[in-house]
Amino acid sequence: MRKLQLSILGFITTLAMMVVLAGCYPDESASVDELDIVLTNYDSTYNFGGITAYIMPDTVIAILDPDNPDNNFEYKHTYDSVILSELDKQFGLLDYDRVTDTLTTKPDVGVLVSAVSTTYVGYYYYDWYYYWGWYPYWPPYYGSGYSYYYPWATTYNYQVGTVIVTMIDLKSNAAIQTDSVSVVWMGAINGLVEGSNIQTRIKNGIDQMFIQSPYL
Amino acid sequence: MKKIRYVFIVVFLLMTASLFAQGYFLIGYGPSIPMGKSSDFIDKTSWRTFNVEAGAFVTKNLSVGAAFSWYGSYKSYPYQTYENIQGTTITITGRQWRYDNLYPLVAVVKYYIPLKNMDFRPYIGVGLGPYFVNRSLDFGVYSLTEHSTQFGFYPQLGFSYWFNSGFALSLDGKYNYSLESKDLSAHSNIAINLGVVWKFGGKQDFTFTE
Repeated sequence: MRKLQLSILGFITTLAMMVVLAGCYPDESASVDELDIVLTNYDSTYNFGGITAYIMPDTVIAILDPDNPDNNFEYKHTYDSVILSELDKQFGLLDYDRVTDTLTTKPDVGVLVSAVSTTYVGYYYYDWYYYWGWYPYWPPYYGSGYSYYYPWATTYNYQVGTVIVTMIDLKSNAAIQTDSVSVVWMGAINGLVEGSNIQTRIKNGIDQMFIQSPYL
Repeated sequence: MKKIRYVFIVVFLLMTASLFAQGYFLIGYGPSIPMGKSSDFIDKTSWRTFNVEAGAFVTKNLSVGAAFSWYGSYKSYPYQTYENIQGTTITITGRQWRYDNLYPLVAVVKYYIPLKNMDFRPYIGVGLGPYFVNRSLDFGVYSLTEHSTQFGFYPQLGFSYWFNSGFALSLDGKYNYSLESKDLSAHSNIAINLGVVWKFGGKQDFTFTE
């Protein structure tokens, strides 16, 4: 009798373990803003201390992602004013003067802002193997007596947006005369284009670009 | 799924073998502490550890078997800034989620130290075989995942306490180490495993009867 009791105890323990394990795989939900990334890079040989004036167009350039030509979602300039005014504010805090008339003042650097948005499609795919034995009556019996649950997949899509800010050196004439100009600093914000607080996230992202670029 | 099929095949073969020798089946749970390069990736004790083992006693003090385990490590990192990414001038700010899953499928040999009291059976063991590894790093909306199979092994020290000839509780400690593969660095951890053991089959009770 004691042996039976202990075996039952063991069986219950095993079941309890399985329940605990099934429930403990981490799947921490992240809010949309937690998926935002801010990236910056710079030319370590460039003297940022010499910058006093910059030029920046009044439009954000909508670019297309060459790696995902079928999934491009063209940026509609919805957030141009938010992006440009926040950049203006941050450059102002650095005492960079924004030049509007290049005939009177020569800017040291040019700031180009672009945005790209891409739709990604993902699949949750469930292998029939998982359901074998659980849905034995669908579809109805085949001759052999076997039946299986048909494979199924569900799709989801999400839109990822990126704002890219590049600073190019305008003092070096040599750079301008070539096809490519030297980028001395760049910043990018990347995240999901979802939710009601996109403007705040863009502002926070731009502010973070400057926080993590103390050399500017 | 292939891994699970292998496990079923191994368990089935061992159960068949136990018709001729005395077999045992162990199921266990416990924490694992990442060590070495594993702790460079995730430095947090995991409670997602699961272990099943089946085998047979070939002599009174020696058993052979196979074990399948899952060591699942996970850690989320707060929103923070990472400078000089891979030695460059790149700086990135964001949240990170890291996952490291290790699935050893090993052959196990255990030697039970003979004692007068056969209820309490301390043992030393060794496991050897492939370690299937899945490692993911999620950063923002991006996920980098690496799958690899590494050759691994562990020394083991533990004991089982037999309540009767068919049922025991066991406690053991292992040091898992799997060798670096092309895609992933070496993995290692210290794992504690509390388990229940059933013994079945066989003509002679090697483990309980003197």
